[in-house]
Amino acid sequence: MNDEVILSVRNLKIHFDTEEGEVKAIENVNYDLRKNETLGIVGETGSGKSVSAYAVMGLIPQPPGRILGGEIIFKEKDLLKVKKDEMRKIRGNEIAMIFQEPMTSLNPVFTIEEQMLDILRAHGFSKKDARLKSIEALEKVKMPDPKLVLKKYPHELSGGMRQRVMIAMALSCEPSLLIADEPTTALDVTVQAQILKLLKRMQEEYNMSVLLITHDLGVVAQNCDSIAVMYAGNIVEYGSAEQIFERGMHPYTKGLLKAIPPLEEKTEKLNVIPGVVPNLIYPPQGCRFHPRCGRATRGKCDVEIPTLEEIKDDPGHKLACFNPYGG
Amino acid sequence: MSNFILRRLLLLIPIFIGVSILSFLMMHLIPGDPARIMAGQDATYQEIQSIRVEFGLDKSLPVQYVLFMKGVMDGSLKSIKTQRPVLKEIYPRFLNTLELSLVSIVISAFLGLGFGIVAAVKHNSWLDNLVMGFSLFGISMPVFWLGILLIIVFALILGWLPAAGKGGIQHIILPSITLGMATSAIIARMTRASMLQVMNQDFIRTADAFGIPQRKIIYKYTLKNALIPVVTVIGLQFGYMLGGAVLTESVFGWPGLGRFIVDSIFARDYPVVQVGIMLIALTFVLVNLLVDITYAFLDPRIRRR
Repeated sequence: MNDEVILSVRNLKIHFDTEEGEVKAIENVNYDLRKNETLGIVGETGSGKSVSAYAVMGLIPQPPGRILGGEIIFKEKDLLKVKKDEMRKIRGNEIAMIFQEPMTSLNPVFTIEEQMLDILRAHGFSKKDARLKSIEALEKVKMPDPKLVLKKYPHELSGGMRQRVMIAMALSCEPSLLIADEPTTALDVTVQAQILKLLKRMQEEYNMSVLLITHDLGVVAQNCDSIAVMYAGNIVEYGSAEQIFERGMHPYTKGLLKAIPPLEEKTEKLNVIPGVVPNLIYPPQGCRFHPRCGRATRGKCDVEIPTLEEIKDDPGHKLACFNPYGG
Repeated sequence: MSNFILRRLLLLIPIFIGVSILSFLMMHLIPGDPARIMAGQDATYQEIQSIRVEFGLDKSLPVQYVLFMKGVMDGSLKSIKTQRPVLKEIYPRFLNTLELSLVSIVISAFLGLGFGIVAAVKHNSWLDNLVMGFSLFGISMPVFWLGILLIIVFALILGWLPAAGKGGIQHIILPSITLGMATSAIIARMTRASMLQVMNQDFIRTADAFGIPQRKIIYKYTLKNALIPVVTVIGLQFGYMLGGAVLTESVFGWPGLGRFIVDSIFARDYPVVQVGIMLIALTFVLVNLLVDITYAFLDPRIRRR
C-alpha cells in the first residue's frame, strides 16, 4: 500500500426530497482512500452506503437528490464541481463501477461486444483497439472463450458470468478507482467467493483502489484493508480490518459482529440488534443509534451528536461514540 | 432468425383458411335466409329461388365454401350490383385504402416517435406538457370534424389543397393527416411512457456509469428497448386504419375499400362485403406477422421462442 490519497470524501451531506418529506440520507461522511487500498463500507440497507458511492460517480439524480455540502476530491479535482461532460469522461474511464444485479445491469437487446465496444469507444479507443481491449479484459477475468462470449446476449450467460463481464467492462479502460456496490449479493455462495477472489486479483494487477460496498461483514473481512461502518447516514467507526474486527468499540459495530453466527458452537438463537433502522425523514436527535443502543445515556446520547475522532493509543482507528465498549 | 420467420409464415396458412371460412360463414350467421336477404324485400318466390341456385345456396355448407373460394379465384363470383367479378371490383379500391393507410401510418409513426422521444427526454418540462396536451387533443378529436375543419381551412379558405377526390400527391395530404392524427397521438404517448420506463432500468444506469454519451444512451440503449410496445401499437393502428378509414374516405370522397364495403352493405351486395372483409382481415394478419418479425429483430430473447 501507498500513502498517496486518491479519493477523499469530506463532510458529504446529501438529502432527498420525497412526498413524505426530506430524507436525510447522508449527514456527514468523511473518508480517505489511498492508492491500492480496498476500503469496505459496511452498513444495513438504508444506511447511506450506496448513496455515498453514487455521489462519487456523479450519479445522484438531482432532483430528488440534493447535495447540500462537502467535497469529493479525486486526483486533486472536486468531483462535485466538475462539469457534466467532463464527469462523463471520468466515469468508466478513471472511475468504474460494478453493480449488485448482474441480471439486470446489462442491456438485454445488445451483444456483450456491442456494449463493451461502446464503453471503450466513448473513452477514445478506435474500433480495432476497442475489440482487442475487450478480448483482453475478458481474458483477464478468466472468461473461457472470450471471442464467443462477445457474440452472446446477456440472457445467454449465467449470473456469475454476467458479473465477470461487468468486471471486464469496468477494467477495460484500466480505471484507478473501482467502486463495487454489493457485487456478490445476488450470486450463489460458491460464485460469490470466485468473484471476490477475482476482484482481489484484479486490484493487485491493475494497481486499483477499490471501494467495496456491502452489508456482509464476511466479505469485508476477507477483502478489505480498511473498513468504514455506516449507520443512518454517518460513519460510526473507521479503522483497519484488524482494528474493527479485534478492537471494534462502537455498540453498533459490536452488534454487527455479534450477529455473525459462530461456526464452532451450536446456538439456539441468532443475536440481533433490537429495533430497526430509523426513518431518515425524522432521524433521532443526538446520536442516530441511541434508540437501539444498550449503552446510551440520557441527556447525552439523545442530545449531542458524536463526532468521528481518532482513538488515543490506536492510530487510524476512529470512533463516533460517547460510551464505547472498552472505552 | 430465418427459422423463426419460416415458422411464422407456415402458421399463416391455417390462419388464412380460418379467415376465409369466417368471411364465408358471415352470410349464414346473419339471421334469416341468405337468398331472401340478397334478393331484397320485394322479391318474388321465383327470384329468390333463382338466387338460391345461382349462388349455390341449395348445396351443403362445405360445398358452398369450396364454390365460394373457387368463385373468388376464377372471377365467377360476381358483384350483384355490377355483375363484374368481385375481386376486380374490390382490388383497385383496396389499393387506394392501402395507399392512404400506408402514408398515414408512416407520417404518424415519425411524428409519434419524434414527439414521444422529446417528451420523454424533457420529462416534466413545458415541452413535455405541450406534446402531451397536443396528443390529448389529437386523440379526442372526431375524425369527421377534423376532416371538415381541414377542408374548410386548406381547401376553401386558403385554396392550397383539393377538398376531395383522388389524384396527385396533393390529394392524399389532408386525408392522411385526418386519418393519422389520432394514431400519431397514441404513438407519441406510448413512446413517451415506454421510454420513461426503460430509462429507469438498471442497464441504463450502467451505461451512464460507464460514461456512454447521453445521445447514445437515448437513441440506442433506451430506444431499442422502448420500441417493442410502440411497434405493437403501430401494427394495431395500421390494421385499424385499413378497416376504419370509412369516415375519412367519406369526408374526402376517397374511393377506398371501407366506403365501398359500407355502400355494398346498404346495396345488399353480399359477395363484395364477404371478399372485402376477407381482404382486410388478411392484411391485418400480414401486418401482425410483420410486427412479430420486428419484435424478434428488436429483442434477441424473442427469437428463441
